[in-house]
Amino acid sequence: MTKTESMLRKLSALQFALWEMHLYLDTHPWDLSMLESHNRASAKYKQLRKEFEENYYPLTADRAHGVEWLKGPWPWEIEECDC
Amino acid sequence: MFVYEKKLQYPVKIKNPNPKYAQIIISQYGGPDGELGASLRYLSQRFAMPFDEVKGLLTDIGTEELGHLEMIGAIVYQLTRNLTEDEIKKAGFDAYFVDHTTGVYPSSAAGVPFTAAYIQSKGDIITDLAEDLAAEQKARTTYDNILRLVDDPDVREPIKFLRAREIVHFQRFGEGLRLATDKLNEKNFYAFNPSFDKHCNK
Repeated sequence: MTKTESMLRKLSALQFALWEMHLYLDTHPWDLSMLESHNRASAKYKQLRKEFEENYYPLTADRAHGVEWLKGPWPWEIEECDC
Repeated sequence: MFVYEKKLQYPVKIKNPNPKYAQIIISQYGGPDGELGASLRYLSQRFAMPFDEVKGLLTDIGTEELGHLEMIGAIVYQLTRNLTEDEIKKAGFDAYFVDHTTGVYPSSAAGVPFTAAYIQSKGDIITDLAEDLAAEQKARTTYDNILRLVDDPDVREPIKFLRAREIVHFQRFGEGLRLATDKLNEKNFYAFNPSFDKHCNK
């Protein structure tokens, strides 16, 4: 696994945990302790995402334009060799 | 509106192409219980939803399904890269290939193109949520069937992730249905359609 991939996995794992809490809160909006857990994890996620975008590549189109946005690999692509 | 994130919800990295697997898995792209139908179903139904919790649920799950559509597209794309004509014929991928080459096209495993007839948007909260619960289970069974037919762990891991999401969504939609009926007349949930008849809530 490349360094980019391993960072992306870390980011995705945290994002997934946040999303699970988000869906739970749709049907349990009164659960303030879950809301608190969500907000704690969310602060961590924002920090990690900032580091990822600074060191690897931008994740949304408002963060980069032209060559910087277009540069692959795109999410569905894999590099044929680990070079 | 929607904003694209340049990443998959769960990583897809398949070392060995396999057009036979691609032909099976394409069903979750544009088949009867696939992710395209799922996202269109929820993102369309939400306009008729009177309750905020369920508006949120349909928006969020419908959006997640678009991410799943992208994952299935990535799986099919990676399974069909660098193929020779011989491999295509031997795997029985020739029927798909003749119409789409190795492009990702929304169809079922049997080659039936996607149709909106797979989904319903009935404008009735109980009807729509009952359809959504069934849809999640139908997708779960499809993923179970894919897991019966596919050995490669590179393919199985993202499919197992998607299967687990169906179960979580089923749970959330069940809670959504309960939240909705809690707001209706418990003597007869069907006396009114809260999406159409205004001022009928408890």
